[in-house]
Amino acid sequence: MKSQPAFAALAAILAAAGLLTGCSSTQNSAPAKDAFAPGIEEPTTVSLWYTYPTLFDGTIASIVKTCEAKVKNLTIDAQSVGADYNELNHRAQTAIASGNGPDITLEGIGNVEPLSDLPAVNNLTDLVDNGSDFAGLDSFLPLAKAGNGVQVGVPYAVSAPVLYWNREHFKAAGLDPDKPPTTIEELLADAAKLANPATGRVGLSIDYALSNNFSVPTIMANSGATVVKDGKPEFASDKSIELLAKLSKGVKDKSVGVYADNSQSTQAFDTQQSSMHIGSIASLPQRLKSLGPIFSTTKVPHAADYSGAYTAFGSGAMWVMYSHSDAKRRAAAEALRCFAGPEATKLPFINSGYLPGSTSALKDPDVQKLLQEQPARQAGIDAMKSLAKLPAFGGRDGARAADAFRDSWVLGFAGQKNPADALNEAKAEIEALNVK
Amino acid sequence: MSAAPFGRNIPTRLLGALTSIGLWIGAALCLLPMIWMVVSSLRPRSVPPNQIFTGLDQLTLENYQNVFDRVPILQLFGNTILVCAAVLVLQIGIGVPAAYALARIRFRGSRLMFWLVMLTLMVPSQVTILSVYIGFANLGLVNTYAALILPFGMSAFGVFLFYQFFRGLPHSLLDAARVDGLSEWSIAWTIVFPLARPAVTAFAIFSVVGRWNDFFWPLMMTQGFGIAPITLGISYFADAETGRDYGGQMALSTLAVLPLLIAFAFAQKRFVEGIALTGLKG
Amino acid sequence: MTTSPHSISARPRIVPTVEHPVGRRRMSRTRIGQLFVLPTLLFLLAFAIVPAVANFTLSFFDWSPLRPAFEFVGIDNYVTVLQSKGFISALGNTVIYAIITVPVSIALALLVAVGIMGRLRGAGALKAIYFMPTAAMLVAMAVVWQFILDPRVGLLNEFLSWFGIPPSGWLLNSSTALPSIIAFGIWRQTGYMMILFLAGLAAIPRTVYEAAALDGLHGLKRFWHITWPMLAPTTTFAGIIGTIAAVELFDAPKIMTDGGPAGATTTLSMMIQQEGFTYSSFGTGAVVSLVLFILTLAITAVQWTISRRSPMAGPQ
Repeated sequence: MKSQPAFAALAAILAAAGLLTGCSSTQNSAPAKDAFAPGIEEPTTVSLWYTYPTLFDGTIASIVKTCEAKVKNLTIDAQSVGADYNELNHRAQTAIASGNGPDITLEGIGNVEPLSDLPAVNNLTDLVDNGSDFAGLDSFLPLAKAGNGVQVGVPYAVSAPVLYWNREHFKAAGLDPDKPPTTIEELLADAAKLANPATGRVGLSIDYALSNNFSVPTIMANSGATVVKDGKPEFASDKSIELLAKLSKGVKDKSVGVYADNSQSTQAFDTQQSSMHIGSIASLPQRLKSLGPIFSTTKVPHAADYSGAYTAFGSGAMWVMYSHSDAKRRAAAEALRCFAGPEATKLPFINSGYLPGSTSALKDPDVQKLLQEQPARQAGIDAMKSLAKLPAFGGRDGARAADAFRDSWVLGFAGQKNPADALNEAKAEIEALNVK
Repeated sequence: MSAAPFGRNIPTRLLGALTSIGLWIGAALCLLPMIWMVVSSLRPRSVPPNQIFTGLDQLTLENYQNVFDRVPILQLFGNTILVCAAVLVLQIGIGVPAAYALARIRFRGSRLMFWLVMLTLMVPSQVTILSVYIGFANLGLVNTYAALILPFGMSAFGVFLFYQFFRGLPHSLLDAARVDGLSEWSIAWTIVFPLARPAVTAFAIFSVVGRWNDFFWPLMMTQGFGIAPITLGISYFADAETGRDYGGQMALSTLAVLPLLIAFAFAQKRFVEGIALTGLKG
Repeated sequence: MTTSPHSISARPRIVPTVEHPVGRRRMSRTRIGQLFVLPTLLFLLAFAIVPAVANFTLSFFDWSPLRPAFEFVGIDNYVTVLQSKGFISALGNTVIYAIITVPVSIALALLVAVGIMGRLRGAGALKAIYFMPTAAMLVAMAVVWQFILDPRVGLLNEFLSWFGIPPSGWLLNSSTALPSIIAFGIWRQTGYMMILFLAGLAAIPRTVYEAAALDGLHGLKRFWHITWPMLAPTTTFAGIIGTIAAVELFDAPKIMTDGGPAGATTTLSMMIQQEGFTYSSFGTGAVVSLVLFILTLAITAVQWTISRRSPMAGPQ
């Protein structure tokens, strides 16, 4: 075509333009000292994206309403985007790439380490360390602080893992319904008694299918093992391998269940296809709805030869700020202050099964009332004393390392690979990566 | 048609019977998942799904009711139909003239152009999504129908089909028209393009099936149910937090699948004819 | 323009250049050709070429929307990706999937097409039934298959238990996950290829068969020497389209296993998305894109070349 050179030039210009527009999402600079100073001068709209609408719709709507009434010039445009954290995060990334990203998004607390390495994420240390605005979250702020000191997010809904047990199944199997297992050995023995292969019922289901899930690290920690220490993978220690071997034996005997994802393992307990469940306290209301008060909760079992303190890792949801202009940062900071207020931090507890934001929230009459009505929530409250930050891999390849660990665990647990091999291979793989 | 590829020298009856049995067994395997889908959607939620013969006497529409309550089905269908139709019109409007030009009008760069178009078949959407998204975002067109329709305006597959078809047109036809004094423009519009109808029909089914199925692109380009097509509705039902509602998923799947199946059942004869006429035979 | 010795265009052609009555000079053929092709070119540039080039360029950088500074890293990304276990596994999965589904679908489709060809009763119904898996929405069918393959409540394990076969994890087990996806792929594709072959078979003139009968060619010999070579263009077309679709596989494994137990069902296109969005590394994702592109191109070129070399290729 005669106009070929012209078209070639056009193509080159468009290509360059394409790259440059990607460039236009400004580079993240460390926020100025008073970047989060209170007060908004001009009417500003903050876009806030969250997910899991069935859990958070009502809660967020009410907090937003109160906030807009309280803070002058602030409008919060809250939207439910995507069905889970991954979908939300991916869509947020494409939006951010085009320069029109959300100001605040909901992320999983398990993602703290990988996010801490990304320039687009605002470091909120100056925001949360400043005065009493965030006192309502004193128990939880450390959970969202990365190893490199960056306060990645403001925790919003935090939970801990607990052991659920179905008292009626216990009774039917001849076990004492008020005496749940306290050690791993007891746990597996009970699971064997409770399982009924004929009906496909297992004795124990565990939420293990996520890379930043807290059930597995909690079981490990209370058996004297850990996932990562000082940035190095430590999950292939002897104690870890022993633990995984014991659990995978239970899988082989069909007393412990294998599932595609955590919603299925949770659902197993809710539909009485499993008699015991290790998972998040947050889904307690869902459990009460499906089963009624026939179950109880307690702490996650420990290994018989472990005599250290009880550890429960906290995870859940946190708000992360992606704003890159000063005006938006201040407005977003105001919005986050609303979510940290005392009225707001007790809502995740009241409207679903999450933990109340601080020890002072425990004195709130609404919280007390709910605790009396639903005694099963107590295990979560107890866990608050032993709450610790999820051990995670940081640095550029933190997410990859977490997935590598999860995959190896899944293979070893389901019996598709020898536990020692699975864990050791993953460990070698991670050591070759760029983790911190 | 009795011109069988194998001819007559085999014990025809036996072979015929065996072939029949084989074909119908295969057909059953094709249909089985769909039959199960429909049956499961009609059984009450309380029945354990793996007990095949339970609950068959208690058929209910509760799953469908649930779907209609939780998902704006009609809106999603409307979106899907709108997008598929618009994309089809665009693909034909752009592809037919281009294919004719590439097939029958020699000009500089036409060969290059043809191979460029074919090359795009090898670039999946995961490669282009981010750049296209950025482009649309800068134009303020994200989460609009434009973002779902425009990127598919050119169908390399369509261009190929029409190209094959136009290559098969006899020269004498066009030359006679030229001798008659018709301009190139009117030849194209009054003679050639109307002839392409069978190819267009065949292509229409490929195009619609392709767009109907699209999952990844709308996932990235839309937010909420506003302009989302029905593929996103189905994945909504598999939402991790609310757990596996198999009855609901099967009901929604049945609804999603029905329109195209019915349409195809009626159009399949045209479809096969169309393909034959596009000259895929060589 | 090709000319054959017998067509009217062999003679020197006098194309009348009568002016249009309104007086406008009519457009030359070249101009019209360019005009017709222009929209396609614009779409091509905007939605295929420029994005693809931009993406491939990214392979030399370290970039993600959340790490917006473009950091040039030369061929580091290539080195990392080509050596990584995940890439080799995804490449393996993709190739295995393509190598199995495409020939098997073609073979089955051909069998079915030949079987349907000779019959009058039920041909329409059979055609419609075999095409249904293709016509039905992929997402819906993926969800249905997921349900059927569920180890606990799925139809398949229940059915197998009637014969005393122990239940299998299917999509949850890393050794059976990819085979399950392959089975789904074959189930879905066969009908589509069957339609292609039906058209191809229908286009073989009866005279050819009659001549073959006179020559004493029957049965399998006839199929092998006459039918199969005459189907070559259709087979090539089906092979190429099928391969491209197989190599770009994304939707089914994404929905059914999200990459499968420990990456057992992760394909190259899934890895592109994973590298970019999950691991914030669009540069390495772009490397995988390039590999995918080259792989598709290579396989297509090989198939195309084989088809041209075949003695029955005929005028192309």
